Parts: sequence; C-alpha cells; structure tokens
Amino acid sequence: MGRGSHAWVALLLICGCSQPDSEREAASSRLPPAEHARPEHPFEPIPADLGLDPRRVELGRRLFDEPRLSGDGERACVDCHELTQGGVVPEEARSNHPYNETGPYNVPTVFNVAFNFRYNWQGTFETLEDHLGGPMMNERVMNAGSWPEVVARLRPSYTREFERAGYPRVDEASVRDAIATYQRSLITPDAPFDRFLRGEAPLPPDAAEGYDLFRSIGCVSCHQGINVGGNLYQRYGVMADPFEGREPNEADFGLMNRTGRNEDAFVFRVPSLRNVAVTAPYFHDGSAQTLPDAVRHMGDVQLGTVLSDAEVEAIVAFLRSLTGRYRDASLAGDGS
Amino acid sequence: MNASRMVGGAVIVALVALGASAVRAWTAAVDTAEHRRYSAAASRAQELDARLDEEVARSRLGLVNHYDGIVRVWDLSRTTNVELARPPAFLTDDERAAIAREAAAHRRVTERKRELVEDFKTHLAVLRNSLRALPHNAERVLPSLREAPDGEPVARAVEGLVVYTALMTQAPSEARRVRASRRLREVDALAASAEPEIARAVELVVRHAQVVIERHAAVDAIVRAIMALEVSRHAARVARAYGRAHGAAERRADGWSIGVVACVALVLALGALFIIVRLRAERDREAQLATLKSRFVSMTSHEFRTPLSVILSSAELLEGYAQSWSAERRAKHVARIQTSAHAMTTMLDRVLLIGRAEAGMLELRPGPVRLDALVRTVVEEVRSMVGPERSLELSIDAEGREVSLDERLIRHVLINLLTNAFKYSDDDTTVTLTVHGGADGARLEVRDEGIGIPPQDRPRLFEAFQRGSNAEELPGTGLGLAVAARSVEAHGGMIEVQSEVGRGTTFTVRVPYLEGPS
Repeated sequence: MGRGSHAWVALLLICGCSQPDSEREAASSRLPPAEHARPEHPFEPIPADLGLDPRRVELGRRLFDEPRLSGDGERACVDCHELTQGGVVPEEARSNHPYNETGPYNVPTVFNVAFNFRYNWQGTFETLEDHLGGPMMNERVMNAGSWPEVVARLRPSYTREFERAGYPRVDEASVRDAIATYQRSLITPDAPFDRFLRGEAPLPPDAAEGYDLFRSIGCVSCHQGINVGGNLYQRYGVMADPFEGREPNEADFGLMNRTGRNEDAFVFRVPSLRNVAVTAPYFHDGSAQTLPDAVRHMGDVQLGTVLSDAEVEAIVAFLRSLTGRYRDASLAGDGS
Repeated sequence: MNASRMVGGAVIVALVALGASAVRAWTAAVDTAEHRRYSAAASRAQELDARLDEEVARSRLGLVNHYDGIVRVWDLSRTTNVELARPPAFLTDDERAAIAREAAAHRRVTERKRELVEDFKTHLAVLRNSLRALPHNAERVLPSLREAPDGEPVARAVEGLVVYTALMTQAPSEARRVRASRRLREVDALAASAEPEIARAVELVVRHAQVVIERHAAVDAIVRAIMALEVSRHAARVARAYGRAHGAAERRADGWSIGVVACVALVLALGALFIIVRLRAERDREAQLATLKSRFVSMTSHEFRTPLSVILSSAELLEGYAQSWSAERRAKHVARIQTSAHAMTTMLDRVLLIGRAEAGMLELRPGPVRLDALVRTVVEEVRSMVGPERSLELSIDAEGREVSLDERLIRHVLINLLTNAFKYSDDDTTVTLTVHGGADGARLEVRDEGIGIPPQDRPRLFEAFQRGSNAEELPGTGLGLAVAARSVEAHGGMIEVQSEVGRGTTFTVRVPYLEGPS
C-alpha cells in the first residue's frame, strides 16, 4: 500500500464525515490497516498514479516554470529542478549556478517528494506547501519578496487559470497548493526495482548481488521504505568522521542549526535513493561527484566498512535499478 | 374594526418575533457537517495515537523494518491536529477557546511525542545495524585472530563480548549491561596492546558493540518515554470538551427552534383570529346594512307615504272641487301640496347626503362665512317653520369677521338641531341657541327642555334611521342627527350630547374653521 492509497484513505475519511451514520466507528474502521512485516523486502513499489486533480497539476506545472515567482523575474523553480536532469540542477549549469555561489546545500531532487517525511536537508518543513516559502523567499535563491507581491505579479495573467483549476482566487494558499500538487505528481514509477518488487521481472544479476549487499552491510537500516530513505533523520558519520579532517562549517551541523540541540549536530534528513544514479552530485554539500565515490564514503563513515571495488560496483548496479520513469520515459535517458 | 386592527398589529409583532428568532435559530443551529468533521477528528486523534504506539512497538520488535508506517500515521495526525485547532463556528467564543486550550495541550504533547519518535527512528536504525553487524563482523575476524600469534586471548574476549551483548539484548538488565561493558573494555584493552593488524580487525567489532551497549538501553528508554506520553488522554480531553460544548450548542439551537415553532404557532393563531375578527366585522356590517335597509324601507313606507297621501288627496280635491272652492281654500290645498313636496325633497336630500357620507364621498366646500349672519338667517328660517308661538332664545358671541366653513353643511346642522329641539319639546318651553365664534373654531349649543334621550339610545344616536325609543309616536326619519353628525365630522369637528329624560337635551357642536378660500 503506497502513500497514494494512503491519501485515498484520508480522502475516504473526510468523505466519511459527510455520511450520516456513526462517524466514530467509521473513522476508526477506515484507518489504513497496519502494515504486516515483510522483513526480506523493507520496500514498496511506487504507485502508478496518486489520483491528483489534473487541472491543479497543470496549473502547478506552469507556476513551477514561471520566473515571475522570483523577485527579479528571472528564476523559476525549474531552473534548479530540471526534470530532464533527475529533478536537480542541470549538469551544464552546475558550475555557475547561483546556488553554488551562495547556497551551502546541494539541491535535492524534486522527484518523489510526495513520499518524503519532511523537506530540505534539515527537515525544516513538514509539508510541501510549507516548504515552498523556503526557497521562494530565500534572498539567495528566488528572493520573491513577500506573498502579496508574488500574488500581485501573478494575478493579471493567471486569474482565469486559477479559476479553471477550481481555486476561488489567486492567493498565497492557492499558489502553495497548486505547486505542491504538481510536486506530488512528480513520481517516477516502474523502476526495474519496482518491477522486481511487484514480482514482474528479476533484477539483473549484478543489481541482485548489489541488493543483497545493500541489505547485508546495513545500508537498508536507513534507506528503506517506499522512497528508499527520506523517512528519518540520521547522523552523518555514525562510525567515522565524514569530513575527512576538514573543519565542519555551519551547513554541516544540519539539524542542530534548527533545533539547537547538541545531539542534532551533523544530523540530516536521510535522502531518498530513488533515481540516485541521475542526481549527482551527492550529500548535503555535494562533495561526492560520482555514485561509486558516494557509496564508498557511506560504507566508510556510516557503516565502518571498507567496501571492495567489486562490492561498490554491485551496489551501484543496484542503485541504478532505482531509476524510474517520468511520463513514460526513463530518467536514465537511455530509452530503457 | 378596532379589534381587527389590534389583531393585525399583533400578527405583525409576532411575525417580527418569528423573523428575529428564526435568525437566531439559524446562527445558533448546529452545522451537522462541521460537527461530524470535528467529532471525527477528535476520535481519530485518539485512534491515531494508539496506531502510532503500535507502529513504534512493531519497529522496536523488528516486525517491520521500514518507517513508512510511522510516517503515514504522522501525516494523518498532522491533518487531524489542523482540524482540531479549528473548533466549529456554531460554538460560542468561550466554548471555542476552552476547546482550543485542550487542543493546544494535545498538540504540545503530540509534538513532544514526535520528537521522541524521530529520535527513536534515528537510534533504532543504528542499533539495528550494529545488532546485525556485531556477530557478523566477529565471525569474520575470529578465524584470523585465532591464527595470529597471541590472538587467542583476543578471540576469546571477542566471543565473550558477543555473548554478553546478546544476553544483554535478549534479557535486558542493568547487571547484564554492566557485564557487557566490562567485556567491551577488556577487548579494547587487549586490542590496544596487540599487533596493529589485530587492533584494526577488532576495532569494528568494538564500535558495533559500543553502539549496542549504549543505544540498546537508550532506545528502550525512548520507547518507554513515548508510551508514557498520554497523547490519547489529551485527545480524549479535547473530545470531551467538544462533547460538552456541542451538547450546550444543541440545547441552545433547540431553544431557538422552539422559539421559532412558538412564533409560527402564534402567527398562525393570530392570523386565524384576525380572519375571524374580520369575518365577524363583515357579518356585523352586513347585519347593520340589512337593518339599515329594513329601517329605510319602513321609514320610506311611513314618512314618504304621509306627504304623498297629503299631496294626492289635495290634488284630488283640487281636481274635483277647484271650481266650487274659494280662492282661499284652493290656496290652502296648494300650500299643503307644496309643503309636503318640500318635506319629501328635504328628506331625499338627507338620504343622498347620508349615502354620500357613508360612502366617504361627502365633499367639503369651504367658503367665506359670516357666522353671525348665517346663524341669524337660520334662526329666522326655523322661526317661520315652527311658528311665532314657539320661543327661541339666541345668544351670539361672534365677531363680524368672515371665517371659512362649508355653509351648506353648517346650515344642515343648525336647522336639524333646532327643529329637533322644537319637535321633541312642549310648545310652552324655550329652545336656546348659543353660538360662540372663537379664534380657531366655533361652538354651537342647542338646548331644549324636551323629553330627553334615554341612555340606552345614546350610543346609536347618530346612526342613520335610528330613532329614540321614546320618540316613535312622533314623525321623523332618523336622518337628521345622522346628517348633522356626518357634517360635523366632515369639518373635523365633534358633536356631543347631554341629556336627561323628561328634563331636556343639550347638543354641543365644535367645528374648527377650515383652511381654504376665506
């Protein structure tokens, strides 16, 4: 049962409220049933569709591509979350990307964010609606000013489209909802791993070997669930110093920047490994440029394991099987 | 007519009350959808907390090895808490504030629980990995340790460490934790003094054992803290506070609904009463009209017949004997015909006047009048009608100025009152007319010493064809006073009567001067 069906259950709950009989019983009986253990595969395939309102998804797509959201009218969400490039900063733009000049964090992918438990590396935001204000209002990112200004910039040309999407007017809440709805629609089902989980096709031999390693050496402790991660916090460097001798900077302190708790130092939201093969660079600081580097580093600092080249290769083969499809095209761009 | 106006007023008041109570009932009404939303959220909050505890326990026991279940419960919990923060609008501000306080307390405990659950997930991930990795790594290093020179004691210590940590996790107790820690220090010390290769091989075992010993108790402490947080109890308090407020709101709404029903009933009852009163008034008027008609018929049959028979007999006599009669006798009969015809004309005039007055079409024709002159003319006229033997005293207190009145109507009034006064009194009595012309209006008073009007006849004295019960043997139409009264009313004045049977009657008329050509 994916979070899509979960959303359906929530919808049923809400609809159930308008039905006359014994809402108390209805409320409890319509909760999603408790999961049953599948210890051998602590994962779930991504559903094909989340049942979102297509009019709102379309409006959200236009807003996602809309540079007028930004203060100088030159930056759109899509500039840092290019869908043809794994939902992250396009490779050719990376060297002179504004985020690189000014922002301390590696841009996370926008794909499959519907399944994450919180948003940004520090897990600052609980919902996509809340998260939107972060990068938009950040002076170093989109510098949008204030919500009334954003709404004023959009209103003249968008009023009709918001009405068509079923919003009463162009306002902060509807902009947040439309863009968040679009972001939720950005799911990448049908990765080879999903087909394997559904019992449709076996993993390629090297990926299967990598999958066994992934579980046996302990990656799966954190990277589990529908998004292969993205559902808990973890310390960066459980077994070893991850910064390899350099002084940690402010961004490296992660969650502690938000909570102020010492025990939250170097703690980050565990990123999803979905589509990880196409979302380089890696880690909060983008310090690993290639997937083998990232795997080796993780084995070292998180698991205390020095992985052999063959092991790294097998795990990378497994991670490639996590590359899904968006709108009937593989994100790997190889036509598979 | 008065009764129906009163009832009509009461109907309007009741309608206003109905409108007001309907508005209150509308605003106080319990919005069923809102009620369901909130009570479902309140019970869902309790249910979700139980589900969260269950998910945490499952994770701790290794029955599930991913955290999506916990994430899902949190998602629902967050939307539920958003709902709980918005108590329904049909409650009073105080009720909403009371519920919001409970909801805020619930949210605080939920947030605390959430922090603990996040810590639990983080620590459990590491603990679970080390629980699995510790024996796995020990197995890997043990053969090489045994082969290495001086490796045997280290190998035995590593074995002991694995066994004691396993014991500690299988049946946790402080004593076992202390024993496992002692083994850990032992392995650490042996490794430190051993060859570098042995030290490196053992290091990972030591790290995982350290994680297990440190975090096993920590994770269980977090789980106990999670289970100790009474989110469900707070959710139940929200549900109870809401239940109380909802009950009060229902009672309020019921009260206003009863008010609405009562007002509807009142409006219906008063409406029915209004219709009944109107019907009764209609019936009374019809009955009155019927009486009027019969009186008219009897009056005409009597009062018209008398002068007509006079006219007919005199005309017949004249026709038969005119040649033989003296001129004087002929003139007498001609005069009788004329007098009778004149009486009939007067009577018809009055009937028409009354008809117009009853139909509300009595028209005022104000004109300049010299009151003293008018009164004197009328008095002369009346004197000639009643004969010189009757005594009429006149007292005028009016300036010679012109005032505005309808002369024709005032003449009617004066002539009526004066002729009545003579008609209903003995020949040797005196009739007194007092006229006072004031600044704004005139007062005319006619006093006689006649038979008087019985008290029971006074209420209907001014109605048409109505005659005093002690005057039936005297000729009369019952129109004179009716015409007089309508004429005075048309002027906006009033007519009053004071009377004592056998002693006499006084009519007082007050008319204001009219505005108009004067």
